[in-house]
Amino acid sequence: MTPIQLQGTPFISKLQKIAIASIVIGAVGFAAAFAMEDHTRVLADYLIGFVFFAGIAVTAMFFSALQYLVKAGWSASVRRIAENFAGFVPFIIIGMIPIFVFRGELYSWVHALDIHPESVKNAPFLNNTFFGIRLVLYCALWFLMYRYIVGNSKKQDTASDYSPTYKNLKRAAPFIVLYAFTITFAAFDLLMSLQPHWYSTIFGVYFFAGNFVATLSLICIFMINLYKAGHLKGYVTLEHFHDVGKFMFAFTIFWTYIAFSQYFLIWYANMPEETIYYTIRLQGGWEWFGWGSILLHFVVPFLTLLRQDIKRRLPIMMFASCLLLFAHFIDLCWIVLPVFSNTLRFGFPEISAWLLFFGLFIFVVARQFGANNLIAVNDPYLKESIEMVS
Amino acid sequence: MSTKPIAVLGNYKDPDLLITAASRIRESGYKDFDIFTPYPVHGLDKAMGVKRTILPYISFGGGIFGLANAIFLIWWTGADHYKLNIGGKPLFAFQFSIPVMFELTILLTAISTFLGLWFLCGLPKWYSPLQNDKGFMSAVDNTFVVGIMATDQRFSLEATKKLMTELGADDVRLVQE
Repeated sequence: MTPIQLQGTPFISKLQKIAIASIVIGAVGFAAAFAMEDHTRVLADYLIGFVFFAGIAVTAMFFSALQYLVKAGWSASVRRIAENFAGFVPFIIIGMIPIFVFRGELYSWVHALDIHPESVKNAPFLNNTFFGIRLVLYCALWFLMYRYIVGNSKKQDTASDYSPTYKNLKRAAPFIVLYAFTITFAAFDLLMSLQPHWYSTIFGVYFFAGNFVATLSLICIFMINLYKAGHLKGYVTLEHFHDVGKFMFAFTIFWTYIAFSQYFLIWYANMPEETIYYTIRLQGGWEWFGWGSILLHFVVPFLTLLRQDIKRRLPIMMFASCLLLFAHFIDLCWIVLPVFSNTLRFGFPEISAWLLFFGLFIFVVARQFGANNLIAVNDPYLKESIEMVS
Repeated sequence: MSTKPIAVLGNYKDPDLLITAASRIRESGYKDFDIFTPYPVHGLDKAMGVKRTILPYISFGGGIFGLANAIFLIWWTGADHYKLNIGGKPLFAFQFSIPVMFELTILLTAISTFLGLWFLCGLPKWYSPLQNDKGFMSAVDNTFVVGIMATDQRFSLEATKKLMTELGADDVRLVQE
């Protein structure tokens, strides 16, 4: 197999243009918001943007490991796209720093003893030292996994035997366990502890499901653009779009299932310490975000992706992918923003923070696409993947 | 035993040869022919020109029927016919109906898919004249059996037999009832 290098192609320069434009617009908007709005809101917007793309980067790594774990035949020719997204993982630690530094403005438990004496029972878990240790631990573990899983996958491109793949097959299993723990506790720390009196044990799964749908959608968007530019000729066929579409469809339903499971138990038990989560999110205009989540994250994508032949029509897949990414953003906004404002408050600060991170993410990903082979050329499953009929 | 012709059968051992034969038979204009294989052969339905099944529509209809049934069942039993206040919850709400809606949608989708498949495949079929042919039973073992039915408009004993032999079938034979 001949390696496909994208360096110097219009695809990379287009990505870089998009990235730089987004960074400039996002940074200007974010700076303006920082000057005009109260800092808590701006930090919350930062959190949304950061979690959106950090989640996608880490989950893209999970996607790659999952393909190794199950020895998937279909995905060898699309796996590298996800691994290029994972190139954002080393930068997560930089993004974590402002969250740790300004934790006092984001998380009310930081001043727990001053303002919430009743929350002291949380103190062994939610305290400054342990919070910092945990954030460092997530970054360190994710970085190690990135080096092991994605690093080995890239090593396989030039290896003379299949030993990097065999190593990955073994490492994928403990990685998935570590991923499950880190993504769950990261969701608890970064998002759920915004309301330190409220617990939901399914919250980590909920966060994972949203991330996985968003990751698959982003993979699909990149696949469509690369496919149309002709870079994937001979490697990716409509069969691969069909499989990614099935994945998206399945995990859209999974997200709904988890989201409803959380809501259903809280609605039925009707205990104030639990219902507070939905109470503040279903009033003051935030209910539109909730309804938007149901509509854009379930009803529309479900009915769009239901038919078999739809998954092979690229314009519709493009629509569904963009819609699901947007729905994930709406969902994260709905998780974070109502904590800081009783009434609907959504505007350019939220969008510019997201754009800023979008630009940074695309910038890093463009570099990855330039540096790596587009296809895992030496992968033992590549032949099976090319010939795959779904 | 009468001598009504049922079908011309031919055996194949090689799946690639079988697929070529299937597309040649379709190109010759035969519509009423079938292939019996011990396992699914990739690309065979394309070569035979089998139309896409309408089974998904039957499933979808079953699912919608189940969903509607669930909503009606919960609403009619709880909020209309026999009102019971349970824990101060509303008599009817989507929140507690969704599990039932989900389950009944899945159940009716599964049942309609199952029954729809039986219907579309013409099951149950207790008897087929092809069973009388000795070589036919090897289609569940190690042979692909191609059969061109006598009900096809283009069927003629000599020409059909000749075509099958040309296409590399072994043991081309007529099955009679």
